[in-house]
Amino acid sequence: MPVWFHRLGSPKGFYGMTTPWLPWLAVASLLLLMAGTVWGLGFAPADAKQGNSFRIIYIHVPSAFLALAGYYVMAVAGAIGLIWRMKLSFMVMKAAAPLGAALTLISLVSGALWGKPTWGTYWVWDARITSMLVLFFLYLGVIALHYAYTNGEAAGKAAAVLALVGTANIPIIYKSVDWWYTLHQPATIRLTEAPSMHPSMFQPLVVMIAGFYCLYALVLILNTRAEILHRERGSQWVAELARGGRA
Amino acid sequence: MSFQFDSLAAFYAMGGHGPFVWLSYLFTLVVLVWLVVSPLMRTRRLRSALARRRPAMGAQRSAAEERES
Repeated sequence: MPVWFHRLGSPKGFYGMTTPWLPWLAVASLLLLMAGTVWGLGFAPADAKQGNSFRIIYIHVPSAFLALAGYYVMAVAGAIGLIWRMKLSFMVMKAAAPLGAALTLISLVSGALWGKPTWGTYWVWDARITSMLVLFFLYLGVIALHYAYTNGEAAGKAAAVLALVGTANIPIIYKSVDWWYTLHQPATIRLTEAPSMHPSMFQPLVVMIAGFYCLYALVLILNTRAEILHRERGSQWVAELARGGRA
Repeated sequence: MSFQFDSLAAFYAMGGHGPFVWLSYLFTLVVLVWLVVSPLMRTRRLRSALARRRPAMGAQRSAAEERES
């Protein structure tokens, strides 16, 4: 195992290693999100059928994308915590839960606001939308389990089991638009095919997805660092950190 | 690549879809700002709690040392 892996595995090593990453991630996510928003709102052409409501895609697709990718982060961190009893991985799992819930909420709300002018309704019990709502409740469940236990270790184990059971929902979300073709349109981006959008509409979407990725990484690290400070508050290195001011 | 709207008013109106587009972007902005600010606030609270505890622990130790001597 390389040295950096061991450093990343210890809370202290993770804290020290991620400190210089934070300003870069903050600047990158701010620039990408601002550029993508201006591009998507003002400069991408309007959709021939949907008009300007289509511009909601630039937040709807990236947030849904990261809500799903974030579930893998949470479930894999939970699995590593259960199998190898790595202290840090339960902290990462806990950090990923409110972040994923917030992104799922953004995709649900932006989807509802897109649905009204496009489909004539804010909400339908379509397979894709319903399975995203289930994803939101799975995230809330993992958060709730952390509040239910006072013991961090027991909370981590229970939440990891729930997160792993919930991964059954992920392929259902991906496939829902193909299995039950009701109202939600099929995927815009597929890894195996060319995008079904014109490049002038697709490029700002790529910028926004990159921005959401950077912001996801930034917030995941910030949440994990706060959790480390909380759990390691009795340790020597945190005491030295507090005495030394910034670190 | 050029600006797609004839006027700023047309940009705000979004061809009648303005309320939906702007509300969804505003909601996203609020949630994303909250996501970044909340761990920073929590870190600040934890650090100030640590800073307050430190002198108190120092005082305890010196009291114990006095008793021993």
